[in-house]
Amino acid sequence: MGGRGSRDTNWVSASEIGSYEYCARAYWLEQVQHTERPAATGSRLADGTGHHRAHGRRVAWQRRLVRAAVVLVCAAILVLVVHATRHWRRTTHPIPEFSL
Amino acid sequence: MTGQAAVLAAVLAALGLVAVVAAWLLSRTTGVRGDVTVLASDAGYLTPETLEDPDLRIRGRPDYLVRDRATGRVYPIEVKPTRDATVLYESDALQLAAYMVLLESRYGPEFAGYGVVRYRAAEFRVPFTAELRRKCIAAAEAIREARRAAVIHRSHEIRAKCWACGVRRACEESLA
Repeated sequence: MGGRGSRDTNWVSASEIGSYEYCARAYWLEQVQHTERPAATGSRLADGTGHHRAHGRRVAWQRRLVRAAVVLVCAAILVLVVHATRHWRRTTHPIPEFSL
Repeated sequence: MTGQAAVLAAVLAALGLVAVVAAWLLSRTTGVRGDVTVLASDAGYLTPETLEDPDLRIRGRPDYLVRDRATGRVYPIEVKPTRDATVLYESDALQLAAYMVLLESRYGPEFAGYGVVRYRAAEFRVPFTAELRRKCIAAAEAIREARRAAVIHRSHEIRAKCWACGVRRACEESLA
């Protein structure tokens, strides 16, 4: 977001506000003077993006687990209902015995 | 058959319970609670949503934009998964404030009036106060001025910030 906000001199991005509050000079050096970060810092940034993606995957798993739980509990209830219905039919409408 | 059906139902229910517990444990580490609906995400979970306020000329994409299912209110979640701090950084509070400014203008009364910052092990609920709004808008204006400035000086006296800074080697005012 920061880069895009810098290209348009009127718009300011939320992440730029955070960067500027962290240190106004660091913001100015990076976004206005376009001072390059050392390669190690660049890889830390990439790590940060990777951590965000990993966080997103954890949230996705969290949601999948909730959906799985709903399906499993519904399946358990269905098994019980089907079985109870069959049992009730057997007891109220017994199958006549076949005899020759 | 009665026993088999009961065992099958019990196994399914137990697996469901395990899934619920696992989801709850995950929610404690992500900061995204189970009772919210995620509307947008910039963390790869869903499509991100860029919020803009043309009057204030501020825009941003919160990591998560969620709706509390109980209240129907919307709030942003900003995650810093690598940050180990136990106190909230002012810079993170202001970044969150920018999202809250945008949500206030986009959602009006549907905005919950607070946002959440999640670090690796700590979580902060930040109320959207008039003071925070004022600071955020002032910071946006200061940034516009900084873009035109010939020089901008260091705005803090915290050595640790300089140690963690990516441009410290190019900064003549660095404390590190």
